[in-house]
Amino acid sequence: MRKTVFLLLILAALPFSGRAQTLPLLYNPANPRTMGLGGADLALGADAWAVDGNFAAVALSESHFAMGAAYGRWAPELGADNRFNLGGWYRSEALAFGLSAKGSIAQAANLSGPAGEPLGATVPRDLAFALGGAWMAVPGLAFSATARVVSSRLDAQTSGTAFCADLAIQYASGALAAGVSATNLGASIRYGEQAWPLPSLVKGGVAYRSLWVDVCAELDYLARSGMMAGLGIEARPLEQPGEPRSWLILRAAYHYGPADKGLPAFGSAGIGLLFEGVELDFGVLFASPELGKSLSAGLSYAF
Amino acid sequence: MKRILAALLLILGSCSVHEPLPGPESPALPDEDQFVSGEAVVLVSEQKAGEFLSASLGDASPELGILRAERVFPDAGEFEERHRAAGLHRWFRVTYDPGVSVTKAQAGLGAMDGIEAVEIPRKKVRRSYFNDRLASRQWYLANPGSRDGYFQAGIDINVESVWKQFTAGSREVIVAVVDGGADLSHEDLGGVVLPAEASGGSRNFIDDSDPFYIPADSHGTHVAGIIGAVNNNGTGISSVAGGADGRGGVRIMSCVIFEGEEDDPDAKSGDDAQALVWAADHGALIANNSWGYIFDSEQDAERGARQFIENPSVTKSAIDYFIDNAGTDGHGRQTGLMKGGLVLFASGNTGWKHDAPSEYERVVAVGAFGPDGKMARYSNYGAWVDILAPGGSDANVREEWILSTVPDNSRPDGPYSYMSGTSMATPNVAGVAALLISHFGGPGFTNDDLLDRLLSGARTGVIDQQGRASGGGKLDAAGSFHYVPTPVGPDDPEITIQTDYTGDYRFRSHEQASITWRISGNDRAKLPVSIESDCPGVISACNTVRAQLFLDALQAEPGRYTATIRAGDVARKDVSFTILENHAPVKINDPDDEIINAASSSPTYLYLDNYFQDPDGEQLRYTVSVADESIVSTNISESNLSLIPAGYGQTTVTLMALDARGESCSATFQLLARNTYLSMDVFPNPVRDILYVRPDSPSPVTASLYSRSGARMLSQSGQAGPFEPLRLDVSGLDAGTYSLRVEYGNIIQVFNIVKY
Repeated sequence: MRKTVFLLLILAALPFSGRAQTLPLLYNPANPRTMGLGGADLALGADAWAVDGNFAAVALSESHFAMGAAYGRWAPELGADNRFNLGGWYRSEALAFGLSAKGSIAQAANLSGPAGEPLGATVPRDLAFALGGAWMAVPGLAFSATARVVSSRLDAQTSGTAFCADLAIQYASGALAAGVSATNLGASIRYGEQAWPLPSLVKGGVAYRSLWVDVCAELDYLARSGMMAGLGIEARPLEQPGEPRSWLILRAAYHYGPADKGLPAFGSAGIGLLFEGVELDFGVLFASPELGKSLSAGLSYAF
Repeated sequence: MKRILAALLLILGSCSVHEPLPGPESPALPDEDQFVSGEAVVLVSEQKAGEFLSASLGDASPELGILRAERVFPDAGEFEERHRAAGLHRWFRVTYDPGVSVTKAQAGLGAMDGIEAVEIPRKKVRRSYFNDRLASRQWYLANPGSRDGYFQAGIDINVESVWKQFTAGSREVIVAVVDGGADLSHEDLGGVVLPAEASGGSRNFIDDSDPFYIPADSHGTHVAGIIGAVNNNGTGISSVAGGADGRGGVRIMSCVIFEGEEDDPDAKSGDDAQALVWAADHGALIANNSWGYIFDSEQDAERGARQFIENPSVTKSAIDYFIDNAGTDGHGRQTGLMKGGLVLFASGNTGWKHDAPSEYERVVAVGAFGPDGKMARYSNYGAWVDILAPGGSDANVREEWILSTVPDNSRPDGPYSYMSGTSMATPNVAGVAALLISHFGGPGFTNDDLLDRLLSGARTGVIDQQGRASGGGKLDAAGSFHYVPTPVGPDDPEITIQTDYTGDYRFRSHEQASITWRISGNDRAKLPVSIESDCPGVISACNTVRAQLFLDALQAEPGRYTATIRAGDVARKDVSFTILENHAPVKINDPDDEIINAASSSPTYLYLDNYFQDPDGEQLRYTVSVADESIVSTNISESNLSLIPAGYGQTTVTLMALDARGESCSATFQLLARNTYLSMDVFPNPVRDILYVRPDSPSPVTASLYSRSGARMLSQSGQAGPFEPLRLDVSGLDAGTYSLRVEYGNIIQVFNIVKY
């Protein structure tokens, strides 16, 4: 624990450097729960889209199966990308396996030549497919690894493919949980003759879980961009002790990030509606002139 | 002494061309195809003329195969003495083997003893342009104008007031139409065309034809109708001198020298020289000749005209005879309304600067103009053209031609048709001349008086000669009637040289000017009139009543020059004139940078006179050059520049203004071709290094570039405009998709940008 905190402090002291903008899909919130919690849900329990978050938490989950689909409109003030996220996993005893697919389709960009002559239009899009595996080494401690392939198309002449991996650790003991992950580890993506590094992150988070409320905090370091942080709350006001989970879930969070790097600051909120294992979630961003009104909606099932 | 050929028969069968040949004083034939084979006209010396017909010509030159010889002008009875005085008895027509080349015949005849000159007949062509049918509109008599500008009010012969105030033509005036035959039976020529009789009247001058047979010809009938179709008879057309009471005005003597249509292989042509002499001897005062010689090229025409003017010619002799003797008896006493005759020739329809016989200085050469006031481009031109008359436009529009009578009654509108050409212009002049004789004619009225009125009454500066300088002005009947000649007393022998020019004789370096001096005096008809000048830009045209100076200042350097007008050795007038220094064009305004719409093909126009001016008041000529012609193409029409989008981008346009002497000045401006439907351009996209943000008008602009994660990567503000776009350096950014947010004024626009 001390080493973890120490590591996080070291990372926080690192100067902001680099400008990792390639493939933002790989580090932007892509499902309604993560969006509602401001991206600070690393240490919380697994949801259907955990392959793209902390897959190690799946090995410590009480559920054996989850699957979900989400769709969102990202940054409508800056052009409104269409984003989707599909995910699912299965846990058997100490092992778990999962798949995810997510994508981002931008609005059409009008192309023009060196003198401003019109050259048609293009629709940039990014797609990522991931396969994850988790293992509970001992009760309360799990490890995971995720392999991901990314395909990116900027225009008809410019596209690239990259492979990367995520490594994660999850620890849970009673009401506390902690997680550490390194995501998007891999070689660069090449567009034509030039290669660009992937947006690798080191993330660390903690969470406190109680009957009515979960509180989570996270500190992230985005390579070549610097530190980001988030604080989120997930409340279940109708929860009753000894009763199955209530149908209403409320979420709120704040994400901090530099304005000119990585993921800038925003506030977020979300709501979940749960019934017999089926959960309908919504998430929205606000308090950001660039990202405000970004929203995501998702449907998941878990047992 | 070599025996001279006994009988030389003169044949003028199908030729009126009398091309002087190499012999004692004849130039070489340029092209044998232009000449009639098997026929020649020779000029025999006075000593040999009497025995020429009795000589054995065949023995003298057996290789020519001479068949017969005859006098061109047979014994003329009461006029014989006069004919001999004019030397007409010395002309003989020789018929030889047609298989002999004209060059060989030329040489062979020229080598014969007693023969002073040999002429091989040239092929003739009638000077009409078309022969077609149309509705009746006679703009040439009174042009009301039209809204589309193809008809200009006042572009006519201005004859109506003459009909009202003076005369519409007297039956005492006879006009000889030397052409195809006029239709005696035409409904609108009844009583106008003189019948053919032994004692006079119309006559056929085609060899082997009955001299009393007047075949109705389209061209000849058309010409006759312009001059004298009966006015006011409720039928057909009006004519220039067709009277006013429905019974006709002047009369037509049809002198037939053409038979058959031009494209008829059996078409014939007759003896024009005989026709002219006959007309002079039998009462005609005006001879209308709407025909001329065939030439292959303008150079050939120049050569032919020079040969005709400088060498003996039976046609020229006949022309002189008509001018000198028409209207008089065998003793030279005036018998008609005018002493002496007027010979008119159509200047030709090839658009050349030379022609024959019309270029001969003693004839009145007539050029043509259309109803729009422009000289027809088909009309031959030059200082030798004496007057311009309606002949029809260059366009293939019948209503713009000349409507008159034709023999063909099978047409829907009856026997009337449109034709165009200097053939039609000439009878307009003949008609006005006939009106002048009808009113002013009488004892003491001479052909010089007529010529003076005709030419001095013409209006200069009215017809747009389209850069083809020609002498004379527009035929104006009223002007000729109202013209007041310089009074000359009966005993006043003095020759005066006067002009109505009131300028200061200072001409700008680009000017063209024309000054006319009138020659007045009792003896002027006998004096050669000339203009001499030390200025290379001066050409002149002179006849017995007029000396006309044409100045083209561009052909000479600025400076002071003199011109001397002479009437023989009797009168002389010296004038000095100055060609002023030329001043280069100046730029008066800088053209603004231009933006054109590259998304449209519509041109943008600039009026170049707004930017340049010539201190000499000259209309400048403009050129334009473009640095990058893939962006814009240009077209200049007079002072208007069209800028036609061809692509996108910015380029430099250079304008140059030049004056006639080649001095110039220039101006440049920037031209931007962009999509003007867009208020903001962002390019290039995709971008590697520099992204341009270009508003459609100068304004403060703020551009912010965001990653798809919402991070603001770049922000830049500044004044930007179409020619000074905002530059964003994106070279340091990773590849990917970005959003560019542009704020200008109250407008915010977001563009999706691809960086690679």
